[in-house]
Amino acid sequence: MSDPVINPPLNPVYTGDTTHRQDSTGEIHDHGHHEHHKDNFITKYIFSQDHKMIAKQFLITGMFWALVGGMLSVIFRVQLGFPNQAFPILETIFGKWAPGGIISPDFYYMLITMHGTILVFFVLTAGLSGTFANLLIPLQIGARDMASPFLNMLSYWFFFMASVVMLASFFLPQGASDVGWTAYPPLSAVHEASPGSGAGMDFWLIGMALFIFSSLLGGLNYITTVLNLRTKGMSMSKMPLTIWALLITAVLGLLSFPVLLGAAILLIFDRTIGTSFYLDNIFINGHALPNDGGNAILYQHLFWFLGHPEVYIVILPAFGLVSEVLATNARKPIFGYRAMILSLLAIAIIAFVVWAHHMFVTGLNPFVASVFVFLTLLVAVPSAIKVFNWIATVWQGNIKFAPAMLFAIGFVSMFISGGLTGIFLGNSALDIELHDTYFVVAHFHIVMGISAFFGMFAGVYHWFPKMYGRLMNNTLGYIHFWVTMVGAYMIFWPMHYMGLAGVPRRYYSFDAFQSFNMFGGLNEFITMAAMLVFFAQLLFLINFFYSIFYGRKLTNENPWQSNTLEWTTPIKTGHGNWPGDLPTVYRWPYDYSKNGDEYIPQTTPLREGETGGH
Amino acid sequence: MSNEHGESANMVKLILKTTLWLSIITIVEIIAAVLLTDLFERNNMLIVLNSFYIIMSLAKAFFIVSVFMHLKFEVKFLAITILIPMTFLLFAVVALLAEGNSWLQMRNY
Amino acid sequence: MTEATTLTTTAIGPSRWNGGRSPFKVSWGKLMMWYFLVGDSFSFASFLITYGALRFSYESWPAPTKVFSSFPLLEGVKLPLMFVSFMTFTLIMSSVTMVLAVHYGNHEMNRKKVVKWLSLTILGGIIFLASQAWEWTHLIVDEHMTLSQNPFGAPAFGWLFFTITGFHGFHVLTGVIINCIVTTKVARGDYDRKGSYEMVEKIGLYWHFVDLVWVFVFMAFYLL
Ligand code: HEM
Ligand SMILES: [Cu+2]
Repeated sequence: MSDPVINPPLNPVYTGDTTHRQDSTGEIHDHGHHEHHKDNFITKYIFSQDHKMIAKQFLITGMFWALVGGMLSVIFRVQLGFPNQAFPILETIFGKWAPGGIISPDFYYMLITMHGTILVFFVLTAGLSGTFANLLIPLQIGARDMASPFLNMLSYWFFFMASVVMLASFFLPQGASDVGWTAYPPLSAVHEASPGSGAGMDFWLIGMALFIFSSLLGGLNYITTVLNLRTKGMSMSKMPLTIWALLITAVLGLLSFPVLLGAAILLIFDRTIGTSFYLDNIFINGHALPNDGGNAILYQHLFWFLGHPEVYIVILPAFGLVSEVLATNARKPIFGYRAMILSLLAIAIIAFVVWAHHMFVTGLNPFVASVFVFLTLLVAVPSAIKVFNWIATVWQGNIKFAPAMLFAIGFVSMFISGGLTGIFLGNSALDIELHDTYFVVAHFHIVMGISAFFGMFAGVYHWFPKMYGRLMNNTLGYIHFWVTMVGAYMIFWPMHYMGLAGVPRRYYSFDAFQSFNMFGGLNEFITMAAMLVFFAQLLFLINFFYSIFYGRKLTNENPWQSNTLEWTTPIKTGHGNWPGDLPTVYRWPYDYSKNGDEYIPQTTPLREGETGGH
Repeated sequence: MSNEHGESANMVKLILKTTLWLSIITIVEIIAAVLLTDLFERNNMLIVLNSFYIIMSLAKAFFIVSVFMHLKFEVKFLAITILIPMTFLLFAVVALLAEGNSWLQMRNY
Repeated sequence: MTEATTLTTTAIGPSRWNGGRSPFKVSWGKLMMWYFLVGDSFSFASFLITYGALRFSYESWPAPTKVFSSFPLLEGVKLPLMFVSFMTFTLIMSSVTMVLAVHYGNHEMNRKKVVKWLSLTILGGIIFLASQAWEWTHLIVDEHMTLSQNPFGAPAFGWLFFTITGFHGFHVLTGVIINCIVTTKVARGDYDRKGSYEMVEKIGLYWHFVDLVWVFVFMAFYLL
């Protein structure tokens, strides 16, 4: 039924099967056979199995969550910037959660918990690697779709269900979870410990379990697709760094999320069936709990065994996107391609052996702690290699300052600032002073929050034309960048000083501390800056949705004159990506400004006497 | 195609041989657990017996993965990609056993 | 067949890593199953590591030969570790029958033999689950070892035992269900029509993994 097509198909639109293309020895059989099946609205936009549509679903759901998560932070910043000041509108909106227009302590903890959970998992994990792994993996390796489009679709819908559960938890009578995004027991294990420890925590755990299934389904697909479905000539050493980064991200997720699932299952058992994995000697409301013999620190180990790889799951896709955007817009080959790959691998490996640096003050055995200090500080080496390579890539380049490029450069700046403070924290002796202060908050918001967002923005501005066939507005992009860049530093730079002075994180108010009065004005300033940055993001949203419908239409399928394969597909890319045969790859993706050519796509055969790539 | 049958018969033989090994190891482990535990405990040598169990379990795991799961006959690099992650687990086991031990010390203070 | 494909790809380079095919000579489906199992081994590992850490934090630990010394229908007789030996053998044997099913599927596409060996595998799985049910019932009802108390010593032993063997049993149960589905499909001739028995091989991997995990669960609770 599917005989090899010798003449090019008459109908240039690929209508073949995008699922079964590989026999049991792994040979790809790609024949564009003619079997027209019409997509209806549901299979095209809702239960779509096209990786490009699934990418858009992840992106837009992620944007929704970014809006919610960002809003939550603005609300709790109001309390921190203007403590005890009444804003009647808050009571109008939130009712009993903000009596008299002042946010209640319970509500405050709910806000910071959900802010952290939403941004780390739903925005910067699902929204970032979900979007770009789906969009770029098949397009940049030359595949028709993911290995299993069906599981890929399930991955999104598990994420969607997780989203529904998390969102629903806001409307519970006792409110959403309020125990911190890390959900440490005993707060998270004992129902009566706080308002959000009851039903809110149940919803949180169910939501996270669904989320873990989603990322495992996605990750398995990304890994097998990259390994098995590369087109002819796309050897591992000709893959764009985006694909390398997304592959390693997926591996990190595959190996660490199951451990979080394990930790969550044990937590659920402690909460429901009376086991005591994390509980020992707990007194609540004057009576002792029957649970005995476990250890709360155990949870922290299991959590951070995921938690630390998780922060790299967040940042690695941004590494990849930024590398690609920097090289394309500097019109120069990426500097140190192999070193970039090796440092990605090194970071991934080290990520699994440093988790206890989040636990230096838990009474960790000092010998064990010293091992973790050593391993933690090692990560500075590959990180620095990457930073120097990015700088060397743009050095003396013919830089095109597109909004994507600005965000990529901003990413490098942010990553350096935040990485440096990581080295402070990695020393257990310093961390005993700095742990759980605003110094840590500054560290991880700069290195993870802002950096990963910048990587994501760079990606969205750069690949928007591929997604929607139109361009985003540049002027709005520039305003968005500068306000965010300056604003983010205004928010997080001062926090370092507060942290060094000992101001603890996760405090509802500092009324009781004379010594922190001096930071009242600074807190007010940070809150104003946070609001400014939040509103700048609305600009981005407007730009994004406006441009989907009214943006300047693309006339050229390769607007950035880039080398990678996704720009060889038609502007309106159908399911199956390439209308005819799959492209063949002859060179690495970074032949910019080579032998007088500004760019040479990967599909251009090597010329007489030319040696490939790097 | 003529050696297809011979190959198939060989494979069945290998499967049966592996089964035999798995059984023998299990029987030896159980005999040791039932008969020798007291002896080793009295002489404070339980660690020897426990190391024996661990090594034997790893041997069983090796048989199952290499023959039953056919990994021995796959491309070597596939096996490598599967085995490398397991070293992370090894590190985690060592770290958490040390931690468990230090919890005990602290409780005894 | 293989000659032809190597010819077409030599233009790019002989290495299997150069794209257009799997570097591991396996379909994506099998590769996905392998990596799923790698991930799942981390979830089991998180439990077993929990077991190790908690056990090391206890001064003393119940002796397995004392806890597990009963046999169904033989009340009053002390037969340490005999019942679990029976369970272990059941599982090993079901792994053997599974590997034979895979073998006859891949090498001979022999539908009858595959159905026969798969059915025996399912039977082994069911016997194992039934044995586990008896063991749990006995421990809870007769010995009063529960999630919160343990007459044999450290209470942690109880909840660790039920959680971890329960998680393993859950895997066996899913394995049995999947095996039933695939056996039906084999019997219907689905894979003859498709020309490949790879699905049997994939579920075989899962089943062996369950056996593999048991090796370590067995070691942790019944030997160490
Ligand atoms: C040079 C590299 C880095 C080092 C040495 C480092 C070290 C540390 C240390 C020791 C802590 C614990 C601080 C404490 O709680 O007392 C920490 C917290 C954190 N780091 Fe890093 N870090 C580095 C890079 C990164 C990167 C690249 C990310 C994310 C992309 C990241 C994300 C985080 C997060 C999210 C936390 C805080 C989690 C929490 O307690 O809520 N770090 N870092
Ligand atoms: Cu960390």
